[in-house]
Amino acid sequence: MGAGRRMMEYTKEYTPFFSLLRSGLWEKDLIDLSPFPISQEEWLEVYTRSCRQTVQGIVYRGLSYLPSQLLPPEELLVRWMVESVRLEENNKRTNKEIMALYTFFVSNGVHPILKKGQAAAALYEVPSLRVCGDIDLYFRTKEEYKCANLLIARQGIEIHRRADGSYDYNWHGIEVEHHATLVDLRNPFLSAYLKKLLQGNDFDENCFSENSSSKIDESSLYKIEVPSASITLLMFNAHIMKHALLSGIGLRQLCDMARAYYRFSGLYQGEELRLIYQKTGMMKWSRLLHSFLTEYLGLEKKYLPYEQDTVPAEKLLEAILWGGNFGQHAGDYNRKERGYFSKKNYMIKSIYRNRRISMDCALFEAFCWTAELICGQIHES
Amino acid sequence: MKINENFKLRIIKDHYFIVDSTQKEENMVDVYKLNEAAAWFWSTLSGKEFTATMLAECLCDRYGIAYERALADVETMLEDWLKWGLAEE
Repeated sequence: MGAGRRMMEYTKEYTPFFSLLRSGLWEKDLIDLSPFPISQEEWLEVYTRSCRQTVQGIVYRGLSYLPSQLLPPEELLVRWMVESVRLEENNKRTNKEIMALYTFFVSNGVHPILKKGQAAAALYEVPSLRVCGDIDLYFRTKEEYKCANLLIARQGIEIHRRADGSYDYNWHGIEVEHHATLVDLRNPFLSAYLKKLLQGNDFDENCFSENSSSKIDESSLYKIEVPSASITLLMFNAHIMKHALLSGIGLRQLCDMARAYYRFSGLYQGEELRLIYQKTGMMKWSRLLHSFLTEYLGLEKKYLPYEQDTVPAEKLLEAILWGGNFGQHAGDYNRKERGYFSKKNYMIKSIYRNRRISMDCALFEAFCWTAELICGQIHES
Repeated sequence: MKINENFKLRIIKDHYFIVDSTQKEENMVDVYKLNEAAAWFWSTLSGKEFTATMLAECLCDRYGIAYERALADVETMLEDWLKWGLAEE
């Protein structure tokens, strides 16, 4: 089947899913009810796709905006409700562990910054229904980074170096990653610019205060630090671009980006962000991303940082539908197989698969990432 | 008496369920279907102590039914809730 025809099929097949996703993402009525009613099998597909893209909590919110007679069969509805409770409990547990981890580091003189994850959840109307992933922590200096890794190792916790140079470990059943870089850009010519940019930006302490349900722990002595609005937007954008070029990207990250643009509107200068995207070589990519956010996720154009013509976003849609959550649903991805050759093989296939995006939008960045990951995997092996 | 806070109420349109949040296995979770009145009780009683007579009076005010009938319905409901662990003395 040709790419154009395949995309038309995708678009038709995914219409109910995207309608519910948009409705849940913005907590608004569905604009068009014509894709409904759908059959029991189609409902099961919507549920499966939601889980595959880790947006089942957002789509669950969307169900509330459907008229009663168009809801899924009760058996599936109950399954979704059970899942929503599970998500809430996971979020509660993750927030508690972030606090414990943060307290541990601060009491040892290290001050981590919370990247993505639970900081992204705070951007939603109902943060507890966002699927929570790993805890990502960034450390401002090399000394703090090394010290944090050492502190964890001294607790008797196994800590592993990853291909991209970050470290990961299991903290009370939750995956935690330590990062020495805040923004996922690997063009070596940008490092001085990014360093300067980050030095000039303060970190925010009150991200969790806007929505009481997203607070990590009011009684804690420490407040969790998160990057400022413009740096968060750059960080989210670069992270999505990295995964779109390499291992594959899921809809949850795109939803985070849409919510971030919406929630941070008025808190940063659009023109300033445009210049940052321009300097970091992200303009072409951002155009594709912004087109996707408006066309498929229903972000109103007024919330974008600057005006720009849209481009067809099908190639990004195709990459998302193929990969799911960070490529974990691609046919040839095997989580258990962590050997040198299987990882390298998967990564090469994935980069080849996403070549349309790399070639059109960010060829040099894709090259730099590929080189770094290959070197990292050689180092790992 | 008070409700067991480990059970979470879920409402979508006219579907009311309470779900046990303590069970880890997705396929082994206790789920109970409620009617609209029971769901209303559940949402208003969270974190509060209550008795059958208090609930019967609320039911009379809300639905305009006879006290005896309301009390009989509430007692049956609370008996089930206690039996299933949804409420605690």
